[in-house]
Amino acid sequence: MGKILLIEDEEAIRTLMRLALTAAGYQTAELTDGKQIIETLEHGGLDLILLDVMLPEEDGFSILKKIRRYQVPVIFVSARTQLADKVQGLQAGADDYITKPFEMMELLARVESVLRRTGRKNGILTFQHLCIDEDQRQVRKASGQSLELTPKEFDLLVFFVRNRNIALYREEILEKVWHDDYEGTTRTVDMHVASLRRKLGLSRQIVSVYKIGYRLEDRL
Amino acid sequence: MRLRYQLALSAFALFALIFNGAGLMLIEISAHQRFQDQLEAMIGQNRALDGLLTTTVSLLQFYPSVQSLDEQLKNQLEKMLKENVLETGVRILDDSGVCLAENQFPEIADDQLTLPQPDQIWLKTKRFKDREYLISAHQVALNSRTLIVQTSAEITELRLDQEHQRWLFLIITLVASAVYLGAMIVISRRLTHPVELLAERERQIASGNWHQRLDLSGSRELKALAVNFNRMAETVEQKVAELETGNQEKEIFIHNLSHEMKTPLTSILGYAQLLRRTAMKPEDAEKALDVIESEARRMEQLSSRLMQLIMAAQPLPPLKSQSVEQLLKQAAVRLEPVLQAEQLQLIVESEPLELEMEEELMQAALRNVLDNAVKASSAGGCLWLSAFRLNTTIIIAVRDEGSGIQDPHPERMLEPFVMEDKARTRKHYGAGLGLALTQRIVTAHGGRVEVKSKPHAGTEIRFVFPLSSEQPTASDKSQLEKESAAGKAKTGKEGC
Repeated sequence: MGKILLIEDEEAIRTLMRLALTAAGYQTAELTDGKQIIETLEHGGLDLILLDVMLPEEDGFSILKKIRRYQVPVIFVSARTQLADKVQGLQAGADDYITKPFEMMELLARVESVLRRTGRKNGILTFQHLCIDEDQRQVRKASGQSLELTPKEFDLLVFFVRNRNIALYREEILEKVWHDDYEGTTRTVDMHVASLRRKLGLSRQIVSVYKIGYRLEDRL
Repeated sequence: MRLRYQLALSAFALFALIFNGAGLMLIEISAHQRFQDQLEAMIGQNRALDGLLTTTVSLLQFYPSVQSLDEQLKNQLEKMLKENVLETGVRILDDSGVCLAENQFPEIADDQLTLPQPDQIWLKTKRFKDREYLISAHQVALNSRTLIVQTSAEITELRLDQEHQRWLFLIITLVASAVYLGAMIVISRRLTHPVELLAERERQIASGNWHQRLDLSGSRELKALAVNFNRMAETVEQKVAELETGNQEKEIFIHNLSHEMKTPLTSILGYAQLLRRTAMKPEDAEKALDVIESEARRMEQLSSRLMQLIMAAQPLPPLKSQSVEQLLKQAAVRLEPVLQAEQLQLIVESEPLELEMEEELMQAALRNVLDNAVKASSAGGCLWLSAFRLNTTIIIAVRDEGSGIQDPHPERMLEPFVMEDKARTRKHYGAGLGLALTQRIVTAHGGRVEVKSKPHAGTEIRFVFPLSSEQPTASDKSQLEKESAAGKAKTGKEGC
């Protein structure tokens, strides 16, 4: 789904981000400061950079200036929530700005959003034996066989795949996939999940999580 | 209107009033005086005339003549007038108003002149052909007849002079006024300049230009005013600077505090979510729980420190004079377990001194500094804790030979949230508030904190207190040696 570079000096937070992103299917690389950033960028293969604003030696803004020409999208991470700081960050050239403390889902959503916006999102999502073309809105088995899904089933599948390995609350699913279209109960989520399990053979992979909802697990 | 013009104009108005008033009055009085003179001359003349008449008419009786009495009278009167030099015009009428004789009398028709009463002199001024006359008329009673004598004096000149003077005065007054007004404006400008300058400066300062000052030369009052003004401006500038730094400091504190709180929260929240929602590998899950616990601990310590910071800012409870030696001894005792664990030695030296203090707080202040010294030192190292008198101060000092402070301004370590070694501090759940707290406590006791350090060579932190009057007198050397010997903390190693 993409390779993301994390530049953060606090180990706990770095690990946190790594675990969340790898669970969702991204690849990650890590740095604790801006020293080796140029080398890493020269090496190539990066789709996104998560950059902490308050680093010990060189701060996020000056690092951003240095790497702008590589045209890799950057999301600033910072404890400063003042509007002025956010505006400054965005005006300095960051593609987005996330403040601590952040929810895991928010981090993933912003990453996905920036990747999509900067055209680095892969058009084709893969999950085990499935190829999902988001632009064409088609699902295919690896064998080539095309599968029929309703529009909402498709959206639900994409949501699962993009947030794989993460337990998703029913309410969350209802809000993110159905938006304001549906003012029903979460019963409809259950029905659509059952449908996906059946049509795509993901009964083992879409796991029910007690008291939360569902999780798409990347297991065979 | 501006002050200078107010001043000039009021001075001018006063001048104009007085000058014109005086001048005009002078002219009028002068003219009046001349008129009076003329009048008196005329009256004198009248009397003379009366005498002359009486004499002339009485002589008539002695000269027989062919002419009628009237004609005789007429001739005689004419003769009289011709032969006598008179200063006024004269006209003599009989009691029915017929003119008998005249000399240089203006041709004013009779009916313009009323008949005087007996014993009355009738006076009037009359204009005739652009000339002005003073005319008198009175009755003269002779033996058998009554004559009306009219005299005239020309006062045209008088009147003309008066006119003339008035015009002249008008011109003079205009010129004088112009000169005076001009001079007054210049003068008042000079006088009011300092005031206007004052107003201008005050306006500048009020609009934020705190650094402006006033420079007035001139009278002593103005100089004094300038001095006071500048003193006031100085105070304002200082106060503004103080407020601004105070504000800035507060902002920085809040920023740092917020950051120190947000970081642990991010971890706690994040890892909790991870644990809940993703299937983590067992070792990762262990680590996650670890992080959650330690970050929670960090927040706990932070909040406790904050409370202490707030408490230290409150007015202290009444201070008691306590032994400094005791303070140090107790600190050493408390530190023993840590010293053992870290294999460090502590040397305590204290003069017999007393200090007014709140014991628990001072212990806390010391503890922070000692803890830092311990953390900075490596195994086998040595720490010094001493108290002594230096001139007019009492000093409590903690010295270590540890890693030191890199910052060229080591006193920065006293600021809240400033840490020498971030990783090392975090390892001990710190947030960089210990020294800030210590400083608060020491300042609350009337002292100050000094920091000296050499990178990699060690650090010394001193509490400096002003001397109070009651101190034990001389401390002899032997006493000092005994103290240092007794104060050595027991460790596994001898010497440093």
